[in-house]
Amino acid sequence: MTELLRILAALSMLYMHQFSQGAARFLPRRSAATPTVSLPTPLPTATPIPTATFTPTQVPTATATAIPSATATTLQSVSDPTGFDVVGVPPAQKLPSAVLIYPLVRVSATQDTRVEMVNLTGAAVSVSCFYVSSGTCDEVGFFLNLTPYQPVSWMLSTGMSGNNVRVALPFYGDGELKCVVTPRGPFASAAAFNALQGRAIVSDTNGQTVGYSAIGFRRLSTGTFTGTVLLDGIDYEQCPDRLHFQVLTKKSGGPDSELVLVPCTEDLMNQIPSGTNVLFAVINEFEQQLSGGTTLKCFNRIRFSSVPVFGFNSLGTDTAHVIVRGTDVPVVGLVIDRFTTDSGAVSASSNDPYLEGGRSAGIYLP
Amino acid sequence: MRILRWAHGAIVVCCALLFPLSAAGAGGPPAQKLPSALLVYPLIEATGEKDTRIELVNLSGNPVSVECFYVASGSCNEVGFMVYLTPYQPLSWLASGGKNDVMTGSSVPPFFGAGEMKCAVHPPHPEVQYHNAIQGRAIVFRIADGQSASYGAVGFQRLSDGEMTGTFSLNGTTYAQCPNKLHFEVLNDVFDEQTGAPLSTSEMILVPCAEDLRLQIPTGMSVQVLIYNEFESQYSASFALLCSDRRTLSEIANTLNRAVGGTDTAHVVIRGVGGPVLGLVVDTLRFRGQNGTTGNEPSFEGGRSATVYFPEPQ
Repeated sequence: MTELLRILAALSMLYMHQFSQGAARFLPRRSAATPTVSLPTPLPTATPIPTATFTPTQVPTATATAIPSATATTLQSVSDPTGFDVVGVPPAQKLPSAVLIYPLVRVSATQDTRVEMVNLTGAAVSVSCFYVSSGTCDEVGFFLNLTPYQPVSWMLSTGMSGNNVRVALPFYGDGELKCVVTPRGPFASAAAFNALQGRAIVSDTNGQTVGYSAIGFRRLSTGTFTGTVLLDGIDYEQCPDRLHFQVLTKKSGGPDSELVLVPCTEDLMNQIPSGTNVLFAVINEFEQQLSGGTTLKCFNRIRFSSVPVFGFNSLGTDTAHVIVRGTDVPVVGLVIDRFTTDSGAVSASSNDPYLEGGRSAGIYLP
Repeated sequence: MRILRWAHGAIVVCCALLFPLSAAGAGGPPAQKLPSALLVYPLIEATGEKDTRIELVNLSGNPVSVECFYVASGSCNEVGFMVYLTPYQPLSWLASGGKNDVMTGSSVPPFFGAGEMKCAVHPPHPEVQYHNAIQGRAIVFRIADGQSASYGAVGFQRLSDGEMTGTFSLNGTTYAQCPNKLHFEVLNDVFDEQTGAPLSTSEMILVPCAEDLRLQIPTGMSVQVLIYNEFESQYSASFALLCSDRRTLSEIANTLNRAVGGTDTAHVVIRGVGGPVLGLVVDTLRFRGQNGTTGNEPSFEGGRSATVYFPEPQ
């Protein structure tokens, strides 16, 4: 009993010491605002409340208490979790683009994908597209012609026909889709390239539906389309150096989320599949950091249950911040979040990443 | 003359090299999926049937304070709260449950009904990199069957150094502009040919980009709609919006009914007349006799200035 009391006393001393040392970084840097404008905003007290008096048993009230910092403190900046400095500029999203990457297209006995593409400009555009199969890394290509502002969509299992001519090919299995605007004639302006946006919806007979936006890359300079798409920040926007996902952690017995990754670099001309190691830096809600890794060859679909660092048992919080970085070539992708609702139903939804930094890559079309 | 022509060409080339298509350029739409200073979640829903998981993440290596406001769609009333994020910290909560974190002082009230949420960074220093720190998303789901619509919050980057004053000038100089037009590719509503009963109907949710939360003045405007079907036929429509609007596609225009429009998909261009708008579509699509839902975020075209007023920081 005495031993137990001694341990408890030691733990509480350690906790108080930790708190007095580290609490400042948790405390707000400014007075908290009142939750509603109908209430008078409390003025910060002239006498700062010493941080040492802040106790863990304090229950926040509806009116937030102002806890000004006694002295201006320097920001505690944490080093990059991946160990690599961020350089370059990522591709801006939701804008008319010249290259689209759909990281996941899927057809099976119980699943199908609707691919959508829209011409956002007032000029007709030609588009060259390639499916890349996940297992074999083989590609199959086709051409689309879009009239001004035209939307098109097709089910992957059937493809698309127009005027008795096959336009988009059907596709079976898992894979990705890459589409590139191919302006006719030399020295086309960047605006002639930047015309497209797209999305895909993967449906399942179990009712799980996942819709996501294709990742877009804008053309930055005037030029002639040669089949070599240099995502270098000069011809086209760079690939993102790393992807940031906020994910729901895998709980034991719960549904399994998936991380789908494809390489930014792809040599479709010589059919040389891109491979890379992929590093994960995972931060939980307590700011604890873990790491993991996997390999990727042209396509990888990673179930959260196969990566211990994505599990609730490892992380201890409902959500995690996952930073994904390909070591040899940059990668793009998405997460399919799955969780159970209070009624026991499984919910599935797409989770597009936030993009940070830029790294050069190339797509080589036949 | 030749020298003048050469000089003109050189200036054009220099300008092109110095000012390439930039995400942070003035007079353009806000670049998305980047660390931002202001986030707009156009749809938060917590009812007996639905709930929303709200996610917020600090993408920077510095601690950040974030001020958020729920704005209820019916009354246009707001309720605000503060959230504190440690470096790289992810945070999420259910709208119906709120969140209480004694360690960081974050306290999120529960929210009931439907509405939007706006969040802004209170930077500890005026440099622009301390403003652009956060990103967010939300998953609106039906509790009974798990059908969901997830979307990324619309982010606005700070473009110049300065204190956060509570006035967000989305003008392309201080913060990125609002998009002038939203482009959606939507699935047309489908009705039973015999009975006329809806089989799958999608919904469009719009909120104004400008908002005065300080004086509680709801923003109202009319919204213009331009519709292109797959045959390049063009239609138009319009409706009024006050602080938020939510309606099915076929309520916007009957050409967004597949039987009328004639194609599976349509390209819908949205433009607020009195000011820019933001929003999303909750797609409902039928797959082998069963409906599924998914979020459909717009593409942006052009930029237009707007101002969001938060109660001034103390």
